[in-house]
Amino acid sequence: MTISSVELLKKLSEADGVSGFEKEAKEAALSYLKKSGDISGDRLGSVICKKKGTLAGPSVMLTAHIDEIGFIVKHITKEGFIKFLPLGGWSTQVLPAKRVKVKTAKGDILGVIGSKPPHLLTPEEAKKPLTLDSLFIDIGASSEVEAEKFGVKAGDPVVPVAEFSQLKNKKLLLGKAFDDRVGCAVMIKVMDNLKNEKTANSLFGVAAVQEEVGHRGGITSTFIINPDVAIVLECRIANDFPGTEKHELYSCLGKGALVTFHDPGMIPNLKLRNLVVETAREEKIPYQAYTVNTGFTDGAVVHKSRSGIPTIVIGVPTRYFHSHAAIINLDDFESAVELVTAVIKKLDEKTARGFTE
Amino acid sequence: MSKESIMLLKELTDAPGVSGYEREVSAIMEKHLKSYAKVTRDRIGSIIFEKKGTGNGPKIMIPGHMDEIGFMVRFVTEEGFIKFLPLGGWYDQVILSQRVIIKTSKGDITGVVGSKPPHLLTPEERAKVLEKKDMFIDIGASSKKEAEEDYGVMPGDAIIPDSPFTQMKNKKLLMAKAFDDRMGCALVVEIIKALKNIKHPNTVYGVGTVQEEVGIRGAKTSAFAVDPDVCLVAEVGIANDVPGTSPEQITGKLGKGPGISILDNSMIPNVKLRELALSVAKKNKIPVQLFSLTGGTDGGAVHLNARGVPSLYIGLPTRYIHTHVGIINIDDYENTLKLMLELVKVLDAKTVQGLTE
Repeated sequence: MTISSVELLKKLSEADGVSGFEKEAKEAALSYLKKSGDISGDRLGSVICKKKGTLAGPSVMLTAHIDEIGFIVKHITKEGFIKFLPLGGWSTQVLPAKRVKVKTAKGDILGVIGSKPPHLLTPEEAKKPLTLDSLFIDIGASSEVEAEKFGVKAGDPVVPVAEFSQLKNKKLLLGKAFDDRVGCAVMIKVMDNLKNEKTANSLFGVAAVQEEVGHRGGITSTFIINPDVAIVLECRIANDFPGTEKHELYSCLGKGALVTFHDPGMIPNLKLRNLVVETAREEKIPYQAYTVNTGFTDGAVVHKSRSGIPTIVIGVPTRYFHSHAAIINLDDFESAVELVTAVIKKLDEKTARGFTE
Repeated sequence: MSKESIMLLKELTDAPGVSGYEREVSAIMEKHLKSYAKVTRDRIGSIIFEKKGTGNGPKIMIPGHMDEIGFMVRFVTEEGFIKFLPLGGWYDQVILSQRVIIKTSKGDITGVVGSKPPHLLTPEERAKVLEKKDMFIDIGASSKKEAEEDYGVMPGDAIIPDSPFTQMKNKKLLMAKAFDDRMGCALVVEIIKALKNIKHPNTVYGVGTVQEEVGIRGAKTSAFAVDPDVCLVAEVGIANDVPGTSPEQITGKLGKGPGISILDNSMIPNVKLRELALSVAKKNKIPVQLFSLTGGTDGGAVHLNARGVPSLYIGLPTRYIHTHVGIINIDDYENTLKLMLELVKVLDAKTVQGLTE
């Protein structure tokens, strides 16, 4: 039976797992991956799924990061409020009045990022963006002692609270953590598509940890696999919304998977890139060329691993990520799955060798 | 902690009803009170519940406003995004990436206030607060035609914050949208119900007023309809017992009892009525807090009705009002209810006469 894409995306999006604390998200991914191959990992926590069957030919790594952006408890004030540090890149303007969950040893505690009501703001304050260090989380504890009784400790992870929803157009999906659970979902679907097929390569699916804090699981998982070719699956920017000039457009929802031609972290292997584009054309899979100067992916470290690895980033266009409410289009997701599946089928010994010749 | 009060607060805060669109809220109040009071309306939508006591005593008006702050569809862009107008006072920084519901003639549509990912923000943009006029709502429509014809979105449609009522870890703390002022509506419901079994030397008019947030409009017309002799305003107060507030700036604390206003921007309370409230609180061992506020309440209109009405604003301390997530303490709610009922018991003809002598 094939995996339902919407169910898979819901399960992964709603799973908790900020950088360094990916346990629940990894469990969600593993519930699928263990049916597709043998499970191992690196020593930082990344999950590796090695496809069963043909294990001759070049090693191909299909990697997505499992962590989401969030926060970590810095300290509790005398009055019972939580001061926090970010895990990953947050714009402070999307934070006030958002629900969050503190994951403590005694269970999950709901809280909200507090904000001043407009009645108390001076005109100067209203015009000034809040700074991260002025924000705090209110969990309803009346003192430091009570917060500790709730189980809250410095170092506890804090996760955005946002349920997964389908919009009126059911293909549009709204949720947190699509960055990069959508990439994980592509990887899981591809591994599932190919699990009973003979391929001319050895395929490794990876859910890498700690991307949002510096591509850390990307470094260690690539080292252990030592792949000949790598495909990085990422959530990438769709900015087809008001305020974007035509010449500033990165990508659009609903117009296909993104093939990265350039980002500030990596120039893809040209032959691999051309193979991906040819495959999309042959198979009539919609794709968009993604050529940008902001945003890094694990590709930045993967392609520089050991003596260098031919690498490409294939993305799913995503609106409003790095917030509680991102939007993707299911069609783009399916295009990415189709494209990656088709590309992997072509990666035999000769083709892989050709990338660096 | 009364389960009934909590269920009532949940029902009223979850109900959609921005300024000018309060019908569903008034239907809830009417459902609860139609067998307890005579129900009438003013001609802009406020609902009036008349409960006669013993004799031909003074008329007490207790307004709680039914409207919550929200937005209204201004127009749909060619690309299918919604530009909106605020209904009530919104602080720009609590709006981005929040979920909202558009109430259309074809049903409810989920949307989200779009935000640029930090990757796309220039340093100048980061240093500036994005203004409401530059924001938009994404409902996933791909064109104006789709939004208007398929989804039913039209200029003038009401837009409601999407945020479910939740009890926090400390079950006494309740988190929800629209405590401002469904909490007052809940008090009106509970006061009128309680008066069935209480002797009171007056006639009580519990009123669910409309359009407070856009300029105290329903209070003006309903006060004309009721023509009260005295008024107790059931409203939220501001609890700002949070980090970043110095002790001298604190206007109210959660859990320390109802606030008795000494001054707000719309009204100086009748001083004898204020003193009466304080002595009633003392006699009945109800904790109270004195507070002052920038901003106004329904009292601003009621106390100027006809030849003037002795009025007092009783404010229930609430954290983070005018956002998707206010927080109240049920103890404060119960103490406010108790204080108002005790006041109703003592407001006989002679006492009310004395307020203006």
